[in-house]
Amino acid sequence: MIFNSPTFLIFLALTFLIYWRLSKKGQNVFLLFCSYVFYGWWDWRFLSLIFISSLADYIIGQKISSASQLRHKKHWLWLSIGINLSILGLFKYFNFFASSLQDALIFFGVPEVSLGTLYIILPVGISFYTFQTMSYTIEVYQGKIQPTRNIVEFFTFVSFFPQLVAGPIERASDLLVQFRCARTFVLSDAYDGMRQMLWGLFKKIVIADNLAEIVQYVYGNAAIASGPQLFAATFFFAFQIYCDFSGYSDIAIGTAKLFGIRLSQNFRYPYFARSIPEFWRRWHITLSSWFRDYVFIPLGGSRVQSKWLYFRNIFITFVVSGLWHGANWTFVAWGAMHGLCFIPTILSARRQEKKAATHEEAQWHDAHNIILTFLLVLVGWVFFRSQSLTESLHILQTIFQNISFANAAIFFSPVFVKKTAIVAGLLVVEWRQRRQPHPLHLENIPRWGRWLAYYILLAIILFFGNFSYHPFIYFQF
Amino acid sequence: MKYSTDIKMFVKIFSLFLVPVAVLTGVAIFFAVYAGEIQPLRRVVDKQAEGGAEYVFARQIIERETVKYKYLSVMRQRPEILAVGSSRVLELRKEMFGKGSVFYNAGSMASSLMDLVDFVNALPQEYAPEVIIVGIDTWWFDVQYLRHRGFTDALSAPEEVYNWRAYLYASRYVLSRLIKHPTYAFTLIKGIDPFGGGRAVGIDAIEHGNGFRNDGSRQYAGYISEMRRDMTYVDREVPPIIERVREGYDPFSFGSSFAEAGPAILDEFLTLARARGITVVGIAPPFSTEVYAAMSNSHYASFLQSFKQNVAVVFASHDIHYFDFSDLKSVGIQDVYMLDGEHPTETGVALMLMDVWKETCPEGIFKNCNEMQEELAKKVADHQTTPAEIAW
Repeated sequence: MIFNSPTFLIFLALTFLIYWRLSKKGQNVFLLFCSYVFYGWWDWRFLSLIFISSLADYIIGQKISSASQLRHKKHWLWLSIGINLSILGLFKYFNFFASSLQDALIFFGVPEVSLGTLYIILPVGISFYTFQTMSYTIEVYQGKIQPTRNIVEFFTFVSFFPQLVAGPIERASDLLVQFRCARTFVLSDAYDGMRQMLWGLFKKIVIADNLAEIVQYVYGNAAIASGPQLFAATFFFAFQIYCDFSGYSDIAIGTAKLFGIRLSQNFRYPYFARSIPEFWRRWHITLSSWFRDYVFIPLGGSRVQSKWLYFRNIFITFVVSGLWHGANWTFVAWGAMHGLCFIPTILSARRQEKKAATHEEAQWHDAHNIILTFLLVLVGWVFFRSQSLTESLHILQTIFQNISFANAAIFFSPVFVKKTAIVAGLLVVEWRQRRQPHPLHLENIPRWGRWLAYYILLAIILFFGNFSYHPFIYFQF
Repeated sequence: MKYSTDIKMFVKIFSLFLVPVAVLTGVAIFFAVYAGEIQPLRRVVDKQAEGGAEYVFARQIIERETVKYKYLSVMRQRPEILAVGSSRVLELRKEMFGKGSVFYNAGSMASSLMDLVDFVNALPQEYAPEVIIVGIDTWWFDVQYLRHRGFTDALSAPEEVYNWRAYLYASRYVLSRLIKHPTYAFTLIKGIDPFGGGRAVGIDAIEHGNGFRNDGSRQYAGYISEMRRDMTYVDREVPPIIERVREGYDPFSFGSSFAEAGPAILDEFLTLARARGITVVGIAPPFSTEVYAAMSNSHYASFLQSFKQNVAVVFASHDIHYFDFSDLKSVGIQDVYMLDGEHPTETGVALMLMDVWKETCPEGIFKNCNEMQEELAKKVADHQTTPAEIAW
């Protein structure tokens, strides 16, 4: 069941209508039931994984809390991490590590040994819910929250359907507590939720899915594509993945609002970032903060004795973050590249002031920094989108060697112009609304104007949307 | 618990917001359904099988499902004479076999040798056609095509009429046309084939007059109109067939390799057909002169040679009539009787059938042989007749 399907709309309408007729306790049980139906729609067999993961952390959370010694608490925490990472490792990384080890052994002259291949499907959203449930035990260990004794609350927290398969990755201190309290229907929140869903659907169906085909075509023929074609495809991919993923987040956040639940903002106009560090404060915010809190800071964070150690911590965090995205060296390279892009910030003595400054929204005079950052991000997307490191390097080489006015006719082709116009339209709207949580947050406009905007957007979705089956990209992570 | 006032208000406002959208979409869907763009295939098949008015059927927006449509038509009409193959046999028409013949053209239903085998296996016990005229394409023997099972895949796929996307795509197309030309609604309601003047089912049939006739043969309205204006040979396919051969595009790819297992699969089909009491007549449809020359003098030459040698041998081993028309000139067909580099026109097909008639009628393969001869002779004598003007 994907958000951009009629099945989901029917599911959502029924869930909404029943949910608000129930008591708090009933609401949680019902949400849990609906979340399992939602997840089981893909493959009911994987419900066992989410169940095991939830049950393990539910029990471990209490064990941590009741353990009298820090040593014992730590043991329980490591057990939780071990169980979650084992599930993740088996289903997502086993084949990758096995084949990488085989390659390494061959490289060092060890005769070929078969480590086997697992023919298993990657369960949808496994990285998301695993990280969410892990954050619970970590927070219990850190004493930030008390463990819950209510199993339904906890299971609902892990499997809450709007954000189950692709985030935002919530912390127990933010989301679990909401399931403990009674929820009230707030009309303005529900309206805003619908607006955010509409905007998310627009980004997904009109922009991401329309760009997907051209990107797929060029990257599918990367070996014979020209530099300008590859550049154009990478440029479009940047917006495909942004609109795909942030579109999902918008729909998830909007849907949650209909149930009286507030989810964290996951994107904040990332392509208006003026530096790579700022980009990561705007892109997939809940994952970045997860890695910051649970990888970067435990490594020592920025409060270390040398710039080298600071860089090392950032670099490790980004490499692990890259690997989180997928079991391929291309993702590792993507993470490493972003890690390297932090060097200027680390070397700058005035980084704290700069960081403070970047909390203000971008202005026109920041254009050169925005463009430079975007170009760096584009280089990263080449790694992210390629099938292998060899292909990534080939694409980058072709782009840099083959860009010239002589073979740039593609930039004047109707397809390129049309797709670029769509992207430009998106950027104009986002730039104008960049101080708002989402661009359809139109509080200062009279009702007729807002309705007109909704109808226009809906008409654009219906007339220009691509309704072919395109699952959200981040489902695979 | 009861709904709060706010929830009631929210549901009310949201429903109000959706009313215009629902009304417009509903109207568009109504027209799309009425025009036959979204109609269960069985309903179309029934209409065409009733044999009253001539219906031309072609969808434009939603998936055409030609394979399933043809198979259902065969099962519904249960013809005595059946043409099977790719689009290259689509101009064989019922009238060519004499009045009263029970013929159906299942062209475009098969796209590989395996499809032929699967089709015969899919025939029910109580029915099998008496004669199958099978059009064999050269590339069916290419290793890349050999195991292709489009027929089975298509039959097992759910029908498009049960897919919500079909409604969405069709309704938005209709709506956009209605906004530009409100009179389009009347065009859809009338459902007239603008080319032949008969009934049209589906938007392509209504707008352009293209489509499958009751006998399953294809009406290429655009091509025929063009040929009426200027009776010259043009390779109308996009990209042109000649270009595909020269550039090594599919199905004439540079990697084309004659599959050794190909003749065995053809043999399996012929054996299965014989077991069901079906008389098979094989034809290799023609290529235009320039396309055939390009095939014979390019990367494709050895493949073509293997095809010509092996296929004839398989048919001969079953003592089955086989006519290799791939070299157009060998049967005296002119290029003007080609729609493009690989599809013969109605006249081109009539000329081919003359050859078939000469050899098969003495053996009584076709029932209405005398009538068939008269009709074909009339047409062959008049080479200036454009395909659309053939008055069978």
